[in-house]
Amino acid sequence: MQLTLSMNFSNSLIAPEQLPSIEEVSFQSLEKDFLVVERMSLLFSMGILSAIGIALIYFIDNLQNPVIISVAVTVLALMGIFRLLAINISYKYSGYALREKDLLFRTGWLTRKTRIVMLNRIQHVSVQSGPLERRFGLSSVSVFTAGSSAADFTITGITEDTAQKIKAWISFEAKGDGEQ
Amino acid sequence: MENNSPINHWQEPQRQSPAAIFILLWSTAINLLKGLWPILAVYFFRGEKDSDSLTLLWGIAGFSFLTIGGAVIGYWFKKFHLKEDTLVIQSGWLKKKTLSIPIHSIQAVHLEQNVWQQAFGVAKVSFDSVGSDDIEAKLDALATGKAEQLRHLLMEKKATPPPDPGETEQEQKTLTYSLDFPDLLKLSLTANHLEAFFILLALLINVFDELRQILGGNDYMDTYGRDLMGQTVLFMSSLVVAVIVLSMLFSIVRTMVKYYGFQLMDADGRWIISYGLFDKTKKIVPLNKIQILSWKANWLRRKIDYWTIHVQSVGHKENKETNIRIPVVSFGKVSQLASSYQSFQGIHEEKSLRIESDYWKRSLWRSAVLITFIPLLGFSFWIGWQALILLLIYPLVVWNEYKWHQNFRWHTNDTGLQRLSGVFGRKFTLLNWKKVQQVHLHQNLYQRNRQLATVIFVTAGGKVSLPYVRLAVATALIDQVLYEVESREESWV
Repeated sequence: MQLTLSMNFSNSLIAPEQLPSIEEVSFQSLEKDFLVVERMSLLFSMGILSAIGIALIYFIDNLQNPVIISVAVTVLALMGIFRLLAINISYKYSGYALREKDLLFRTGWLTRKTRIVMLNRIQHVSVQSGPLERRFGLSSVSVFTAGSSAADFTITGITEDTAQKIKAWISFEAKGDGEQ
Repeated sequence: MENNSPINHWQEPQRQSPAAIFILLWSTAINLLKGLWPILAVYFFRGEKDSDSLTLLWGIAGFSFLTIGGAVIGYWFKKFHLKEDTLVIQSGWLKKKTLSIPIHSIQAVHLEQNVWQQAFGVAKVSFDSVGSDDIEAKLDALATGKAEQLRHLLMEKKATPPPDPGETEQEQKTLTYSLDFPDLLKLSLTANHLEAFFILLALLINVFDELRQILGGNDYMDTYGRDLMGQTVLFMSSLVVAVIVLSMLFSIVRTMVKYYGFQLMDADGRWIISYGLFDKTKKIVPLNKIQILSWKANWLRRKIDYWTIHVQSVGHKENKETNIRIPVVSFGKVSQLASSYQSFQGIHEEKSLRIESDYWKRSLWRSAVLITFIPLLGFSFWIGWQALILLLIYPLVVWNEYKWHQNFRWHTNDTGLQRLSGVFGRKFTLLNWKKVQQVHLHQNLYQRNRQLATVIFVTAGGKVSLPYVRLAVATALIDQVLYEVESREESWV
């Protein structure tokens, strides 16, 4: 029996060190305005919490006690400082990277998380922006993979234009059209 | 006519039928009533309606107005269209959202009509896809003809799915595994008797409560009950023994009835599982939909070689149909069944990899603060120095973490990951690389200082994690998995 060998066939050895490494990925930083948006959101949340606190103290006589008020103000201030710290540190670390076959996003401050989604596993993409984000021309892109109950991968703090480009690129690549 | 409109018509962003406003208003009103009925009931059944009640009514009216207004705005800003091979749904006024669903990922298009939708000649269109089930991919009201046309168009554009194996009538079934009477007995004897004990206890309390009401309140029961209890210690001991024996009998019978006639059949790439004496259950598990396969046994069950296989399929959630448990009475049989998912030769304790000892060392601090120190401080205000007894918990927790770390083993092969864990019991977990949807690398402050990381593999049926591995090992493993998934392009389902 004569065997016909295909000249296109190759089966070269790949050493583990030759694999593309996630350690070598250079991440794209988030927009500077995102930091402003996050700080403003914090200010807004603290404002609402303060208003609720003031209303409670005003209407409930038992709460009109200097000790209770001092504790409440201290807790609120600590919460604010803690969150502000989280926003600043997290911003410095956060970033995203697009590779030929996958998408990476890293975030977090105390616990740092890097998430990697393979493009051939993406089911849906959505682009969204809140009023404050729109004010600064920012958006976020959410990626949905199979079986999850909500968007499990959201790249925040990017410009509207970048978000649309990423969405279009993911849609194109995820369909397999991007391959030769 | 809408039905005859050209295909291009779908490429222009369009709103739903105006009837959607009413449908949205109706559903919002119903939701509002569901949420506010206790307040409304209090208001309307109160005799006096003073100024406070009027303020309340104004509040409710204002809230309702805002919510209904929101529904109308929701209608106005919700648009959809087809763009090449993608269904695009735009929504939101303040928070704008554009959802893009590739048509090839849509499994089915459902048309539903309630009474109001029938009256308006519209239908609710929802889309089933293998993606998330909470993405609001639905249109509340679309003219029936238009909805049919959209469904037809989407199904036409999407690739033809393989025939559903559930519909094939003639198939080869082979009995792979069944439970005989001795197996059932083994299974019943090691069932969760504690659960049965609590069920019985709840039943007894209920009976006692009813007796109390029949016999005329607390006095009678208190007087005679106290006399009866006080008579003899023997009575109390007998009662406790009786409840324990009854609980065991109850759970033995319950388990035997539940798993009576258990059979697992292999039929053209799927398992058909059937069991039950009175409530007959039949479950079908397509093997290609299994995302993670695990089996475990507690200390006692390990000794008698009884295991429970846990099948996590696509869309796995606790207490759902996709969450299937199979009782198996020999480890050899487990390995045989598991090989339908991934070849399993056992996990060699010496040759396999372990996690770093920092895992339990960290718990020295974590347990000291969270489980011991803070509760100790809290309880000491309440019960004084006796709270020191809580210190006994500390070595137990640390020992538990230490044993878990000692028993943890993992290794990888060409097809996937195999993991062994447990303290007294054992749990084996198999994961095929091709099932992985996402990979996460987590590093807390402690891990960062020691160059450690936790790797989490996310599938459509759940997660498998490797905690406290060296950062270099974690990144090398991730690189390997990404290569396996991205280069092979194998279907995950």
